[in-house]
Amino acid sequence: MRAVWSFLFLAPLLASCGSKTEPTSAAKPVKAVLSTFLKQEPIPDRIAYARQLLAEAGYPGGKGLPKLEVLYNTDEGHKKIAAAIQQMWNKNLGVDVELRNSEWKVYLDDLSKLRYQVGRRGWIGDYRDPYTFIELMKSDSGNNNTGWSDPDFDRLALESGAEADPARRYEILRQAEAILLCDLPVLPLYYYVSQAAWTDKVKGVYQNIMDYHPLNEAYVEGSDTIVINNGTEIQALDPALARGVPEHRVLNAVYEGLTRSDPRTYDPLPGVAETWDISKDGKTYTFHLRECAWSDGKKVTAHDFVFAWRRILNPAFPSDYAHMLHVVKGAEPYNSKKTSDPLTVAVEAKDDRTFVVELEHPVPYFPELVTHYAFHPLRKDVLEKHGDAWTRTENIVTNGPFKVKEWRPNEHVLLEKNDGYWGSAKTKTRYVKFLPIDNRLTAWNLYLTGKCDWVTTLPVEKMEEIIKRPDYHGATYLGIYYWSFNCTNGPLKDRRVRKALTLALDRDIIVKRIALQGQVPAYGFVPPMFDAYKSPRFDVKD
Amino acid sequence: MLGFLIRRFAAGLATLFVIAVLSFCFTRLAPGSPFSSERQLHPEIIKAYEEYYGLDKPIYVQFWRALRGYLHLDFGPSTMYRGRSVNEYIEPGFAKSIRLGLLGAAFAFLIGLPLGVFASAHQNKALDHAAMSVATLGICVPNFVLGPLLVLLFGLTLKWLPTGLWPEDGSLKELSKLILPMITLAMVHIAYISRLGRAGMLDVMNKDYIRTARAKGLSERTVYLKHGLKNGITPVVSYAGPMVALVLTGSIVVEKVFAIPGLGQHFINGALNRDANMIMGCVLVYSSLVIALNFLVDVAYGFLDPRVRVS
Amino acid sequence: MAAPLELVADVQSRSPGRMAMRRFFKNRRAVICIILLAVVGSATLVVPWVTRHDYRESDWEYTYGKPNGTYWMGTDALGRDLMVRVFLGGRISFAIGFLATAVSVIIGVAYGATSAFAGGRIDAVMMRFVDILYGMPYMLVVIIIMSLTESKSVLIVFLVLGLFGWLTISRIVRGQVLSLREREFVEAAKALGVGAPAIIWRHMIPNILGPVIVYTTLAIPSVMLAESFLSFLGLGVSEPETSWGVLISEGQQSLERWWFVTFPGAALAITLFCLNSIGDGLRDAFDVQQK
Repeated sequence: MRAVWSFLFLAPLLASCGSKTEPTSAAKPVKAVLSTFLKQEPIPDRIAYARQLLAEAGYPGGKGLPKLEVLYNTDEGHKKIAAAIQQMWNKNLGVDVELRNSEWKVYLDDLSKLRYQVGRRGWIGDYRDPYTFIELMKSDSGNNNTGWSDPDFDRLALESGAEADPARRYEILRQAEAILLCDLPVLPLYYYVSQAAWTDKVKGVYQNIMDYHPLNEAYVEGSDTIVINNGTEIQALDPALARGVPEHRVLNAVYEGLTRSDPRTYDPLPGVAETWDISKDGKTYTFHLRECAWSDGKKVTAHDFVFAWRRILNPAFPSDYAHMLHVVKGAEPYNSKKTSDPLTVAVEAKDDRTFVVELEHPVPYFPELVTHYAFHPLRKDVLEKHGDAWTRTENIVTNGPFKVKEWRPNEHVLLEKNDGYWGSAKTKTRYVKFLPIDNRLTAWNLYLTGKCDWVTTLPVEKMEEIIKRPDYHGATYLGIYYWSFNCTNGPLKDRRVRKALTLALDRDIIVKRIALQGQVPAYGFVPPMFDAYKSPRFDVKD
Repeated sequence: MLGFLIRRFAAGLATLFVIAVLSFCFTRLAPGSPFSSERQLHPEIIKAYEEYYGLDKPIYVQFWRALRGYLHLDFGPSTMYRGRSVNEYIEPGFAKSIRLGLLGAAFAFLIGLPLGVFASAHQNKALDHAAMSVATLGICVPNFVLGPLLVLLFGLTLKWLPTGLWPEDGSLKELSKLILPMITLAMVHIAYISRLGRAGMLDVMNKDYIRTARAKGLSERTVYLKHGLKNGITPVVSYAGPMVALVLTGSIVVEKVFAIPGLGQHFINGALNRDANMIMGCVLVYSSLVIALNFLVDVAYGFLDPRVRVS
Repeated sequence: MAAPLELVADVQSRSPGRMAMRRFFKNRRAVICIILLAVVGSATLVVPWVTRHDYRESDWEYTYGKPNGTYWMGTDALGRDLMVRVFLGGRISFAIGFLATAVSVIIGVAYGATSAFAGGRIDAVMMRFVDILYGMPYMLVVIIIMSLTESKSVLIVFLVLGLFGWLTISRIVRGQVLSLREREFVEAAKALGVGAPAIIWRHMIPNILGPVIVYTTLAIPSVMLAESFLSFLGLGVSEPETSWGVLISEGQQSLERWWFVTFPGAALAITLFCLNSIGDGLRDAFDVQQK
């Protein structure tokens, strides 16, 4: 089966290989990346091959290669890895490296304006599908940040959207990843692991690859409160203004979307929508809403969803996650001001309890996607009544298993069980207290002294000992830690140089000696966490 | 006197205005956007954010708007904590930092001053060296080491004191949460105060009028505390102005180590996140304190040495 | 303290400066400390050259390693020899500590003394300027300077630390001079027609030396530690180079690995201890009224 698809998709790929944007590179051996993806060569061989590539590119033994500048944002973890990369490149390839660190905003600025040569990156999947990583490297992606573009890659990414058959879709995405790994505008290092510790009294919490833990059934034995360190002060309670994981934890506890996540598997379970129908072409979803109420007793209706979705897409209203809704038909043109009519967004309340969405193309992960807070319902009347102050504790109205009881800035966010929630029978804790402690060591000390039941971040320096504890809960996490190359100028324009640099790192040392959390060395870009998706690898001979 | 007060007040306001203008310009000059993040936003969305926060207007319009807010002690919306105002963070943070800061400042003076005076009275004797070694330690072990060290020792190993968080009520058990942060906050200032105090006292104790006082047969104690201290602590008083302002507005290190929701972290987080209003709020609070305290210091000079007239 | 008889002889034969130096070199404690400081200083230059370990080279089999026969001060998170890194870190810390402090003390003393001596309106304006500088969002200014100069060189570190470090010292000096200004001997000098700079230089400075020396000796380690914060912003040292401030802040994150923080901390402590003793010695030596 694989061979057939390889042939089908390789034919056009190979034909166009010679005419890429980079004149210096040899014909791209995409085939090798795909066909020998299981082969793992020993480290010395890999380094020898990297040297050979570098020599072929005109820099034998690193001679003639100008000093490379490696950029990272200031952080002990990144600093160590940068120092290791510097050493390894110097030792294995004779390449001179200078490290440059800057604070967050300057780093982001330099990255997006391509004022760097090699830069620290990382990406966490938004949903469980390879596309969340492929999309990242499209030429029109704002997060590509490498200057790399490949028409075939873009085309395959687009084609994957139109493909309704899941197996064929995966194959297309795989082809796209193979192109990426052949060109290597990115330097994959390792796949993340999620890490947390909770006491043995905490029940109803499980690990999954999204590191997301619905609190519906979580509780602490012998206590009415579960205290969670959320890692930082949440930035907003407005689903349209929020971003980041800490906000996700709070928002998904106080709101509920059409679907919600299974605490064990992360699979979508019925939320506000009791059932849903999917049209044959996979493009129209009809959600049948259950009879359920907001925290002030009013019924949750399909209109609340229509209002919230259109609000987040409103171009005059800024939202970080509006792009998540772009799979909805008409959403992108409205969001990017190509049309000013919100009615062109294909969401509709057929009646109070029937919500219909039309999508641009089939999205197999759509039921999972709508668990995200960007898709949560909102109350038009509440927002209009209170204006900007609607998320204040005294004003906010929510529909999730918990409601906001108190928000003391920088001290805690306290949630209380929402007795009116349709599934409240299963909610076992009365209160959830989120602490905003960002110093991991401080949080860990509070955990050790019993002031906190569950810490969502752990101090890296203590990982070696923590990882052995029974209350440590680590799991593979849908994310990749990588460094990216600026492919627009200098020697890094040459894919052989990039490949040599990518190959010349000993990922086992980086993972086992520096990262220390049981991360998985990465030889591809899409985390190998999808059963039917056969990941290509870059560590092969061209 | 009244004229002096009015003049100083007017000068203080003018100073504050200059600080506001300069800082405001700095917030606009700094590279990087308040809306950039690891997930980059579409330029259109960034534009929408800028419109939403009024950042698309000419800078003088923005400043004028902000200035009107400052007059009502309203620092405007935060770009970091969206949908919230800067005041919602600065007010509770400042309230806590003042309390911890007063404790820390009091502790620093109560330990530092006697240590300095005591050392000067035993100049170059073993006791002097011992006292000054303590002070030396205070500065060699920076707060970001001292804090975790105290936590490790008293919090985790001996389990005498809590390792962090703000007290939930006024009970002794809860208030004990402030002990370690207070010590951490005060330590470096203990070093400065004791050493400056010692130096000031040594300078004074050899002066003619002290010798006169001694010759009059006053007890050594009276000479020290009444005549010596009054002039000897001038350097400490000078140091106290900026120091107290600093301590009252919180320290990010202490707040991070002990999970204290104070004001100090907003200085750094505001700047790191380019939250212009947050920066301005912090700058204005801190500057007002510096100006006020330096004014008090100037007044204190007059009390300590009536010959000094600060106009 | 010098014996009175000798002092009389000194006054007859020597200038005040040389007199002071002579008294200073009789202070055994201070002299030992100068030697010790010189030893530490030259060790930072020499040791990284002579040890068998390279400060960049990792021993991946011995990360977070305890001190042993091979690594006398243990290894860091990357398995690099900590001893060579501690001595290497001393270079930048010494340079920054002494130069930046010198810059700020010179500015601070001159500014504070001038302000107090001039008095009146000039004093008021000069001190309001200090207040303004106190109020500046320091971090933002550093970020802006870095982006404008597009440089992360150590020179900018001197500049930044020196430019902002003089404020408190200027306030202290001003406080001292304000009361000195009204003293009889200053009035007398003025009446004799001695110019302001001469009065400041000859009468004021020697009298305020005590607090200034103390402040200086304390400022040096403070500046060394402040440097680690600037390297957080990307200014100054970057890996694999290091400094004491950086080493200490790395070490505080894992205090159980005592060697991480102890050795650079001890280096800083020894330096500060020496500085304090030297400072005290200088103060005693220059103490004009001490008999």
